[in-house]
Amino acid sequence: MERQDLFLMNTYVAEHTIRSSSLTQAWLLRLNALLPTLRMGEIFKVTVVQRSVSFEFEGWVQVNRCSLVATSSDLEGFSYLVRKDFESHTLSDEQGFDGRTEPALDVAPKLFGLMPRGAHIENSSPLYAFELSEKEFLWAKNVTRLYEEAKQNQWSADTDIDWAAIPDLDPEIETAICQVMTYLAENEFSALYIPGKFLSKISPYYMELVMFLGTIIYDEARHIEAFSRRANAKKIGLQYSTTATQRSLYSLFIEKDYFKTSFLLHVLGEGTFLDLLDFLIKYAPDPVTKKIVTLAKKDEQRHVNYGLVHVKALVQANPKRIAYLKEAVDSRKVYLDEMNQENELLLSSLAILAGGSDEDGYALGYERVEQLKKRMGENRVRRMIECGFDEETAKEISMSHTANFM
Amino acid sequence: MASLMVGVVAYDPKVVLIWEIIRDYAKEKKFDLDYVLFSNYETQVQALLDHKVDLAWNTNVAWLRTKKRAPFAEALLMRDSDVDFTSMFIAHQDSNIQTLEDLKNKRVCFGSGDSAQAFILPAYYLKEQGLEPNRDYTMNRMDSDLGKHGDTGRSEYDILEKLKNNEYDAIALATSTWMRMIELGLSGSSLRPFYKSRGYSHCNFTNITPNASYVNEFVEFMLGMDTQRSDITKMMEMEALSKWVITGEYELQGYNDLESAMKWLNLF
Ligand SMILES: [Fe+2]
Ligand SMILES: [Fe+2]
Repeated sequence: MERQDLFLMNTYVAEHTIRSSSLTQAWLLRLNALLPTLRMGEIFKVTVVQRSVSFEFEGWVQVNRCSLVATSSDLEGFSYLVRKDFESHTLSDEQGFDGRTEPALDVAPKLFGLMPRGAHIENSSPLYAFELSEKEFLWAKNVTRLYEEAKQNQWSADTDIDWAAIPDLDPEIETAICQVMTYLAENEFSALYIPGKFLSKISPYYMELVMFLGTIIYDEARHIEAFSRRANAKKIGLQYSTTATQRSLYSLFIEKDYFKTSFLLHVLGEGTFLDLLDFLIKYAPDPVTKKIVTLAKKDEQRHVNYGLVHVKALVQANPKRIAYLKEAVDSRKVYLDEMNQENELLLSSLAILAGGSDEDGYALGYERVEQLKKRMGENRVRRMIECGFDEETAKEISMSHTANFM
Repeated sequence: MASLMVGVVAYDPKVVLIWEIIRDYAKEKKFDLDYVLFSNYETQVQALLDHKVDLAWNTNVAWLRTKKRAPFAEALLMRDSDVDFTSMFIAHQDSNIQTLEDLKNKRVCFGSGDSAQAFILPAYYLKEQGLEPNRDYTMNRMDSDLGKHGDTGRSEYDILEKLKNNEYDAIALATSTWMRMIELGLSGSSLRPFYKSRGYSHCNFTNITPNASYVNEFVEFMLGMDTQRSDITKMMEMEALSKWVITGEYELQGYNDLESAMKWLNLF
């Protein structure tokens, strides 16, 4: 089947010349690796210089389910035109990740592995069955920007905090700080574990979100580190975890729905935390502690911003979803109401920080903590209204929100 | 109605994975199909003849043995890779063996006695050149995994070792096995194939009840497999095919050499 015309025309998409005297392991790899890059029906040209390789090359063609389209011999050697007869990859026609373009599909492709969007997937790749594969329930239009912000605002508990500059405080004040730090670190664990719990269920097709959640997890790790180190910086050290806090975190931890969790954690929980951190920025007794809390708050603001945009889009698309979210808060409240919800150790410590440990100071501090709670409630309502909730429902939900803040 | 039963020889653990995928897919398509594993082709052929299974996934040797005993037996389908299957002879590069005729008075080692690719056909190719075993050359065999008709490929790896140790001057094996040996780095730089056979047909789905109602249904089911699906592509890669093909005139002719060879070797 000498078909010179086929060789003359640009019928082939790749070309190799084998000069070795046998089909070596290296050549076999090269040929095997060529196949997946070709579409079904595409033709490539291989010239073997030494006739002894012909048997092996023709054998390779047959074993790899390709067919010989034409052969020809010339001074260079013996040439083959080979056609690939099967399809091995599903090609993505979508522009891949470049930090700008959003994922186009509303549902992630079923056949999609641990890979960046835009890569071509082999047809025999395993089906991962990522449970979270609907864009609507995951995406927020600010997620790529938040990822960029997260990168630019990294800080280090080693280099950004001057640990040696923490002054020796009155033991009662230092104890209050240590109690607050213990409580904060507990909540940071919750904020680390919860995105981690969902992360492996999200299709990598929505890679920007996966990457952003990755930054949240590292942010929270840094917070855990900084708060724990602050507590242990002086003699007093980490204080008490309470059942009230643990029950609150547990009731959040066991929630299985990503949308509900996103609302409970990022909007209500971390949102409330912003007010708490503001309070601490104001009343922390030393500049080092103020700085730790200030840096942590900047990170938390990003986490809240994701939640706000995410929840807002879902609520706008279907306002009935507000009832769905309220249900999550209500059923959590039923559990929490079984026991005293307030972490009195925390509240008392906050009062000491805000007013002092003597009787008058403590009374003033107590008043300031009461105002903080009020402010927290108002801001929760404001954030929910921003998400499209009606004021009445927002107030009801805010009332039912955990007394543990997160 | 009882399930359509397909007999399959368990030459490798992956056979179960392959057939579980096919069976699950059939269930999904509401096609009532199941499979039975056999340890060797002789038992499977007997079960087919006794109508204990409806169809058998047979090697070329098993197919011809079935046809001998059930004249109405028909080959329905095969893998695209079963068409134009080839064998090779391998020798040391520096041995002056360039053609089959050069094997005169040499020591040749084949694979299993029931392997079409590693023994029956290669020996027949020598006979075609006038080389009779143990008259014109010394014939040796490594009967590894008898009953599996060469499916495991073990005998081919065994004789490769013998060739490397210079116990023989040449060996015969399937081209696909040789490719795998290169890939695994076992082919050695001093060994070369000096002969590649013409194409012949390998496995097929054998039916011995012509016009049975399940035949068309089965063929349609197999040909209609959705090759875009991950599980189907996986199965096809494990089974080394890219599509199922109907056994037509050309494919049937691909069994003629083997039939002659088996007659000559009294293998029926
Ligand atoms: Fe945090
Ligand atoms: Fe956070």
